[in-house]
Amino acid sequence: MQPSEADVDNSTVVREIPLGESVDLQHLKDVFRQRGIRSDDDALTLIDFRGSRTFDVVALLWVLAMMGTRITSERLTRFRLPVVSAALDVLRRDRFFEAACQVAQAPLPMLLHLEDVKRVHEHGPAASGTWTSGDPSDQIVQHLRRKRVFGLSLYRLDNADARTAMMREELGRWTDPLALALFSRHLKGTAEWDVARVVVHEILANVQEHPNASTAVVASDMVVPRDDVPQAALTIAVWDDGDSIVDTLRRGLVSRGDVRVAAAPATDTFRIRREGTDRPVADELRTSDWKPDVASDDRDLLMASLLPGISSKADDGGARSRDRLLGCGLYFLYHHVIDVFQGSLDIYVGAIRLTVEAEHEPDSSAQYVVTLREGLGIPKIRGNLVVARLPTHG
Amino acid sequence: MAERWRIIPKVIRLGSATTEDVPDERLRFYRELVADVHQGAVSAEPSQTIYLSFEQLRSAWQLYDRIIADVPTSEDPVEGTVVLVDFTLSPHELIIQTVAAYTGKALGTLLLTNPGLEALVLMPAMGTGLQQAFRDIVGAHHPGHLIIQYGDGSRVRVSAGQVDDEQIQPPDPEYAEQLQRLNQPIDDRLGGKILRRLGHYRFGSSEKYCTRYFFDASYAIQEVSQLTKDIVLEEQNGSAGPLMIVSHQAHSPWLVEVGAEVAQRLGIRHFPVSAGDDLANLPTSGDAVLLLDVVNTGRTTEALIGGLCARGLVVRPTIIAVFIDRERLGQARDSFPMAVDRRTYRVRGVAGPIARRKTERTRCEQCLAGIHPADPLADRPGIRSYDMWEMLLTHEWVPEKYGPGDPDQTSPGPPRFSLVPDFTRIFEEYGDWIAYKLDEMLEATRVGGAGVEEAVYVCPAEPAMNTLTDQLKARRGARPVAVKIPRRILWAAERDDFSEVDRHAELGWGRQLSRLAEQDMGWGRQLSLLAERDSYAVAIIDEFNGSNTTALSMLKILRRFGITALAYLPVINRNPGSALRLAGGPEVPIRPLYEIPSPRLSVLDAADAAGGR
Repeated sequence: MQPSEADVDNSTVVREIPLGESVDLQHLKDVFRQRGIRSDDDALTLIDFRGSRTFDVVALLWVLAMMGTRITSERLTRFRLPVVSAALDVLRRDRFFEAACQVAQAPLPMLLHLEDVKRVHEHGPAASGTWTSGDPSDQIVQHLRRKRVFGLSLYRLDNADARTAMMREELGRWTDPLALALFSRHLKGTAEWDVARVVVHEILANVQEHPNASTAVVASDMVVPRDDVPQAALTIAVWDDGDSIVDTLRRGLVSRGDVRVAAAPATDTFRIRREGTDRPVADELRTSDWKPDVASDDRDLLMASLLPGISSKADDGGARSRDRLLGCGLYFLYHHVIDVFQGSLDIYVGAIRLTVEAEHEPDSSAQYVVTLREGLGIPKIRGNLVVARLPTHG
Repeated sequence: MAERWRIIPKVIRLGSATTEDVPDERLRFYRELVADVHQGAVSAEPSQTIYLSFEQLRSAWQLYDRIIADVPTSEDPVEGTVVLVDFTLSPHELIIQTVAAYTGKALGTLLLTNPGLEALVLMPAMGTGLQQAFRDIVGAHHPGHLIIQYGDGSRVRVSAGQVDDEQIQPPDPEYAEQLQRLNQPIDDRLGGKILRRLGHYRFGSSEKYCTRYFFDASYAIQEVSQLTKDIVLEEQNGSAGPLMIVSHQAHSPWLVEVGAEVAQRLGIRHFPVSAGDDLANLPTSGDAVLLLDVVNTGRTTEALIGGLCARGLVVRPTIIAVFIDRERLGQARDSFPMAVDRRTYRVRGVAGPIARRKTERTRCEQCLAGIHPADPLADRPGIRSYDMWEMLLTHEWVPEKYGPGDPDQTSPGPPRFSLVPDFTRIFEEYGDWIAYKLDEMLEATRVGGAGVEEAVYVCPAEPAMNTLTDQLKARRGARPVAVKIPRRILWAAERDDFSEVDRHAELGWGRQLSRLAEQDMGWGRQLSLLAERDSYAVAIIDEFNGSNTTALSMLKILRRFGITALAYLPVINRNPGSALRLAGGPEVPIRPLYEIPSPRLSVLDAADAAGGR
């Protein structure tokens, strides 16, 4: 629950974080770093969207994740709404406020600055149902945003039925005929069905493996390439509030001493880069038959979660032990994201960010590069955030 | 090389909640395909589909067991064995990586234990990882190989010792077409998904007329898009300049998506216009294909053509309409000519012709009774009285032939109703809409979990219900939906005689396949398979409920198999307010499409009432 108004009604401890016109992840993290914000900061944090006009859904998801971290220790986060009403409409359309209420388990007025409480219910211009002129692919993207194929979707994960319903609804969204037509034109390969079949399926299957997750938020958007957008992509991201991949694997290691449950079906070679460490560390090559031990640090555990056959799940001798592809979900995911779609995969856990992408160094014997970043003044997030980025082309 | 081949079919149906026989037509298709790959005479074993429901996808390893099962080890030099795994009945998005990998592992394992075996996979999805799993199991030094036939007819050989697949046949449009015909011709698919809503609707923007039907293709966007794309492609070939699609959606917002999808696929522009829009947003030159949702009299179409020409556009001579009114079509099957400003156009229908039963509002009983024509898209669960009674009274009523009690009515037992509505004919005529209404009601009953598309309906095996379940199946793209229990079994259950039921229940999965096939025990096997799972939706349905007797029999049989029904959906409930529950079991909600309370029973009616259902 949100703490009561009285606890925080003290303007001296309010820390305002003005987000600029464009709310994207890089910008967001820069602002947080500059302001020295931490998720365990006791001050009331006021995320100020007043000047914001455009929102990257992954940035919004990251804000929700950070807010989720703070709320577990009864630390408050509030929002100032965008002044431009079109921007406010975008937040409404993407269902940002519903998601924020569920993450915070608080009614919306508790999450807003007093001046904004009235405004949030003001009705902006009715979402226009007509197609605007302009690039046909852009029109379809707009239509799919209105249809909520793109945007934020919130799911409860209380029981098996709810988890199945999430999978079913998402696969339905990602096989929308219009979306498929868009993918066939703007994604690499000839794999329009593979967005649902592999990327969405594996990213959500992964969420279902996280213990104690009660909520998942799926965020997605697509930008078709234009001259003014250098890195256009289809982005699909999922955040859940369950135990982190790292904690879960560590528990498996402590209790069983080993988290390799099956031999790696094939051998990939990774070049591991570490950023944000106190002293520079040389890159290291590692193959997918590597396994962590109790002495491995959090970053190594997160890296290990990518590897096929690594799982916190015990071989319990029951039905699960029949599954020789246990622990292969993220392996299938990065393979497809990188090999088929020529994209990249990011996993955020705590204050660690892992990026896996194709190796481009000509002299390297690795196929993939894993970058591990930590300790750059970025606040911790709760749960797990997985982001697949599939570049779009003309 | 063997002289003859025997096919062991493994037809995988992902996202399905039950199994069904593989039809002869399909086996014939396999025989021809295998004869094309391996020379010689070919036979195919009778078989049933292997299914993994949506929830079961997470334990895809089950597929491994089912592919391995019942493949004989044959050393026969004359007759070779081909294991044929067919994924073409599964939606692409459900052929997930683990499913493909376990298929590769299973085939690899079979080849290792049975070196003479041939394996052929019909696979609609590309890049599944099946090959890698196969190579991992077989190992690089083994001569084993399998053949994958893709949806476009191209064929590759996957050898354990080679990293890359070897293409052995280029794409073959004829195969792709045959396969589509086999799986379900697009016209059938479209027909099954088009919904004729019975109600009281506006006729276009007319104040003068109203209609009894509204035709809705919003569940068939994919099929409409595909057929529209074919016509636009023909036009594109005959068009000198760049082509655009102008779609006009009077009452069908979904048509915008059809226009946009076709345009995106063909790389051309699309401009949607709605009723009353001016055409100012349209370009002033170029060739336009006009796409409409419905053509009734053709006046709107003529006005549109005039407007587009005045704007400077060249309207292509083929006008595409999803629906054309039967009256306007006259004797023609699917198109009619239209002249505007001395130019001739041809309006081509995508779906079949429609008859909307138009009435002048001054003569419409409903309008006269003060009922306003409704918005077809604002429908509610259940069936309105006016509509239900119209259906019930369209045909002569008939003596009740099927009902509880002794099937031949030779021994003393509850008598049947002397007259009941002719449900077979009602379902033949209105079944699409009633099927939609049942799905809608089940959806309203369920919260979360398995979607209605994976629900299984259990009903008596009788002609009327067969007609209705065919319509339900068509709605879901020919996936199996119903378990039909023979009346003699229901009658025995009434008397708590489960001897035959128990024989079926004992014959679980995989044990007595051949015996089951011989004895037409489809329903028992279907229920055994349903019983293995715990999170599917099973609902019981029937044409009408008189006294809960048949419903209780179905519940008893389900309980014998360990299955709990989610709800009972009779089309008509004549026993409202009653509770449906087996001793010691939970109450099963009754959710009828319509209720007709039985009045207080008179002495004369007592015989009928004793019948009931």
